[in-house]
Amino acid sequence: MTSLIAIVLLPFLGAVVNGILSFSNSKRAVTFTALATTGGSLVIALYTIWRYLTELSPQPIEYVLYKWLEKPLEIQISFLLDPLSAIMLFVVTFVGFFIHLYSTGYMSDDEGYGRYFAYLNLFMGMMLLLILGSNLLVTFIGWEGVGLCSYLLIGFYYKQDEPPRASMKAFVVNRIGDFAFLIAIFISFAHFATLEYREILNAIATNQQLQDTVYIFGLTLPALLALLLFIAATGKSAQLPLYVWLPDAMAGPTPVSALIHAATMVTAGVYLLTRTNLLFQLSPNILKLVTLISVATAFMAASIAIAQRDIKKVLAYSTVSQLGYMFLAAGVGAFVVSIFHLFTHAFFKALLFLGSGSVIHAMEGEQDIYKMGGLKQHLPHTYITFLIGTLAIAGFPPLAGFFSKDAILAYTYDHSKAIYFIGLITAGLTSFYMFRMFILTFHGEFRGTEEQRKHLHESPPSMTLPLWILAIGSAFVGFIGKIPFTHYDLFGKILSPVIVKLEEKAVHHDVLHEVLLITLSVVAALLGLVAAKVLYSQGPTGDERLKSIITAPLYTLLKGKYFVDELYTFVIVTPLRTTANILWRFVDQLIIDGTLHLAAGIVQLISALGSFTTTGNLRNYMLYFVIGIILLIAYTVG
Amino acid sequence: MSVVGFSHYFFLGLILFSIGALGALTRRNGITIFLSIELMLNSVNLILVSYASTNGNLAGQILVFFMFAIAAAEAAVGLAFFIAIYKHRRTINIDRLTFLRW
Amino acid sequence: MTVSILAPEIILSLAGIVVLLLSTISSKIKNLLFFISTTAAGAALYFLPFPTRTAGHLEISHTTKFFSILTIIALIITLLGSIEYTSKINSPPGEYIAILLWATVGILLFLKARDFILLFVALELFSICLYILVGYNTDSPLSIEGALKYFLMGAFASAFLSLGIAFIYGETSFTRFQQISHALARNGNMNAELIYIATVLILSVLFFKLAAAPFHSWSPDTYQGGVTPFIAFLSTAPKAAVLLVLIKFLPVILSLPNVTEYYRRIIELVAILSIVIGNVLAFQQLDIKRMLAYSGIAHVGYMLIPLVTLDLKSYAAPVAVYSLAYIIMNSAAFILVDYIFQNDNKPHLIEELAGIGYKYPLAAFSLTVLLISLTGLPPTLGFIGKYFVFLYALANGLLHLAIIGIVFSLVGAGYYLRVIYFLYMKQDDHQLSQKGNPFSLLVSSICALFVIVLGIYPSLVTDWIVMNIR
Repeated sequence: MTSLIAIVLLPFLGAVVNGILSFSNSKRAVTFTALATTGGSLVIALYTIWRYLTELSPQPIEYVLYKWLEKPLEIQISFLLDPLSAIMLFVVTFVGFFIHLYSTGYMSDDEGYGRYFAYLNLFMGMMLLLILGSNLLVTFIGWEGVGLCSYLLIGFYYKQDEPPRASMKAFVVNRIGDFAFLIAIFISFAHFATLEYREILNAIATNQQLQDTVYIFGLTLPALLALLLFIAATGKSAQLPLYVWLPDAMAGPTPVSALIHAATMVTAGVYLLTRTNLLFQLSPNILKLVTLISVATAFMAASIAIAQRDIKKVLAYSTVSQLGYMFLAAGVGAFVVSIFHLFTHAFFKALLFLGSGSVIHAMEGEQDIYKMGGLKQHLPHTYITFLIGTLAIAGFPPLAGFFSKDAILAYTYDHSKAIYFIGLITAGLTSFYMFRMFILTFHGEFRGTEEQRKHLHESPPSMTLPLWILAIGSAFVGFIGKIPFTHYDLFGKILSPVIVKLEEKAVHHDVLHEVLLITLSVVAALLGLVAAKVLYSQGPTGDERLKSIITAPLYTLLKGKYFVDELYTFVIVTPLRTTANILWRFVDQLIIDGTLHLAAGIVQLISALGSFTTTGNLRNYMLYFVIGIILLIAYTVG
Repeated sequence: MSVVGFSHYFFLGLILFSIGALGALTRRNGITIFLSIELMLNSVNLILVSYASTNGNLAGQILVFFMFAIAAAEAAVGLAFFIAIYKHRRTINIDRLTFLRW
Repeated sequence: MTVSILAPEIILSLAGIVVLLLSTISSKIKNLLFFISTTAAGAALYFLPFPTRTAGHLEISHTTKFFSILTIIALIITLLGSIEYTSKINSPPGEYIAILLWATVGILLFLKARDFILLFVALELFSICLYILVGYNTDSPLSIEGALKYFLMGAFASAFLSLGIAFIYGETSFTRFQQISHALARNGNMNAELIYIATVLILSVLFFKLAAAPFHSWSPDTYQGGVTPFIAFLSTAPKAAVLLVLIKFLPVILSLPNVTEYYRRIIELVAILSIVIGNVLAFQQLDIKRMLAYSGIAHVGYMLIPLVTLDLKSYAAPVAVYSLAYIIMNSAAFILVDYIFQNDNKPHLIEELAGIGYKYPLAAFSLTVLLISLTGLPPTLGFIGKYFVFLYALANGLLHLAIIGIVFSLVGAGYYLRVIYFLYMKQDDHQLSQKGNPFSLLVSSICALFVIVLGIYPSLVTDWIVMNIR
């Protein structure tokens, strides 16, 4: 499987070349490099996936690039191709290529064109490392790498105030998750002397004792690893309580939001959970935690989204909410459905972000939906594709989102009725806030300035083509999943070797139940649509009416995003700062610069004292020599 | 009165070596130090020759010849250094050649 | 036994003579001299004898071949790094090159020695050459002072070495390692105490040449004062060579009954002292050459750790890996120091490096890579070296040495990373402004590249080392 190397190395090559080109002014060369490398990667990936999945019974293929360190601490740089990584590979290369194409139009006027594509290509390479790595270390390198690229790209407009702050926030919040990941790596290494997924999972699967004995804090070893990896996932995939960075990450260029903060990087946590699903299946308590956190995240983010004015903020909270759905699926043990939703979400959310980018492009950077309206006539392509995306995410059949969301809800229904209803309400809310945004953006009267009106134009083909491709995907990819009322489930069949089946618990609803569940979710989506239509057909004043319906305090709470940022500032950041300030005042900077300075000071002191032995006088040196010999003899014989 | 034998030469060599070592450690004049070191080398030669005669092979004496040559080479290099340092510093007192320290 | 096994030594000696003769013809053919000598070094590398078992007085094994390669690599790095320097001092370049080549000849013979006479002569051959080259810049009182100290200490140590050799020869009546080993094992009517003292004397002198504590005191003064590009050679090639001789010498003296534990304790003590003293005293140095001298003492301590096991079959491989890393990164670091400072008559203060990262981006970047490698952080060759050493220590129950090594590596991180901090600290008005020689930059950048490449892909060399070096 040497083609895996080409797939991974091409984007890295592109990053290096574009990094060099960014010093010149040749935009055409940059465009060519960016598209050629990611396009080449896509073509090879498609061929590889096709060859692999059409095999009669695809076995996991491991390709060892080389061994970095030999036994006993064997660490190898190696790739793993199995159905899971094949699907992820498809998502990343496919969506990645079209977002690169889109970016060539979107960023065409930016002076940092070369720098942008260098970062974006680097991101692609790192993301591919993350999903193709056959061991925790390679995944971790990719994990840190995409984090770095995310940091660089959020802060891409570094001359403004907001982006650098947002990128720093993303970086710091992610460190918490990364730290958990690192501990998981150390523990795995200490126990299994390997980092290979397959070896670790095998060792756990075959060792009953390991599964049963309490390791630490009342957790078994699999449970501990599962918990740590889930904490890592909450950071990268923006779940409670670490989701706060993602909405701020919208300060980056819009295609970056589409690629990194919607379709690929933020789903890495879901991927990680599925990759190590055995650990989670062995620890029901952790799965329960995943379920609770995910459903809370999904609901909370959806409710915040209904009161936001910034088109990208709405989409960001929608992403958090949808990621919550994915984790919910994992939490109820339906890992296949979790990846399926990841798959469909990548299409329609990338589409929605790119569509919003097209709108922002036309509006000269305006992101406030109160100032839009009536863009339907000016941006016909964007309008239609955006409508498809909205319908897909809202869960209208037969678009992609319907299949995946319905499957998640069906599994949740089996698991717990209460959680199912929260999920259902969230689905209704999703439909509501999406159509609210959609109507405010594309329907009604134009509410922007006169200058903006003159500037309104449809985006160039390099931007509308990706929109259409993704729209077609959003419309149809649902059919490869489980089709209701049938046993046809291509996606599940492909993924089944990856998911450990401890107990057979497929959904076997009777037809009546199935009809009921589907009806309920369609009704929820319809209700959302109708409510949005009724409230917002007169424009932004709908928000006033919404406020009167749900009462003002609640509306303020939603508009203020539950004041979580303020809470964090109040509970964590401010006390930390105050404490640090107090300590600084009292201990005179000793604590701020840490004990490191103290240790350094001690070493410095000893060093200074020790240096006096080096007198520069040769006679002393000769004496040391003789004393040294006597010392050695006395030390051994005496 | 015993005959002068191996142990006499051996201990004479050791005494000379110690004198040389003490001289090197205590004198301040660079050249005196160097001469003391030469004395140490020559005392080793004496020990080597006395060993060679008791062991009954020539390896020790061969080594002595090499050591003469080496000592001569060292003398040439060493004296050149003393001349060079004297040009700069007007002294070869080891206690004062301490620009490089700490 | 044919002449061909001495081919590298013959080539280098002749090249030295040719260079010396040519330099009397004209003083304007400096580049030609460097070209000839570098070519000769390349030829010596090519003609290194194939390892065989039967080589009489000389040992020709994979291990000696590997260390010979290291020596010649250090020679080439030093030659390319010295081009600029030799044109700035009064003394003619021909002699500098010739003596450097002959020093290499001495080291190559020293590596091959299996006999105390050859060992002693080869040691003196390269030592005398090294004394001269340290003080080659006769304009600088610092250079002469460093050389004088090194010379007197060296001569003093030689006297002890010869005394040790004399004792061993006297008690066993042999000078060849193998015969001595047999004689010691037979344990006839020998004075075991005298032999033990003799071996400690010899070990002490070897430690002195390694600049291992407590025999290290000459090295900071010598490195600080000495000719900078030449210190690239002095701080690497002889150390690696002495390590190899130590590797070969230990099996001989271990034949002496009942004292194995003594030797283990000696090496352990020296290793710990070197790591502690080297790292701690490097911490507050203001002069980068002096800092590198102390850190070199610490590196020797790390290289001695595997020897503590006295496991003759396996201890050489980690030493070889670490030596490779040390040779490349340390010599290139000194070349870069010379490239950046360009002035050997005054101290090389670390704080003068401020802003160099913006002035000489490539040089500063290479130096950064080398310093990271010297610290021992991945993904560099320095990390691989430390990894092999510490792993070997752990595998052989030397947990305390591994812990000491790792803890003091952190101290090392303190002073190495401080240099990097200065490199990239903004400061516009500094005096370092002359343009250095491109060859210095080229060779040290290549070294930095190697350090990274081998750090990412270590099995390129480590596989071979683990297979062949015993």
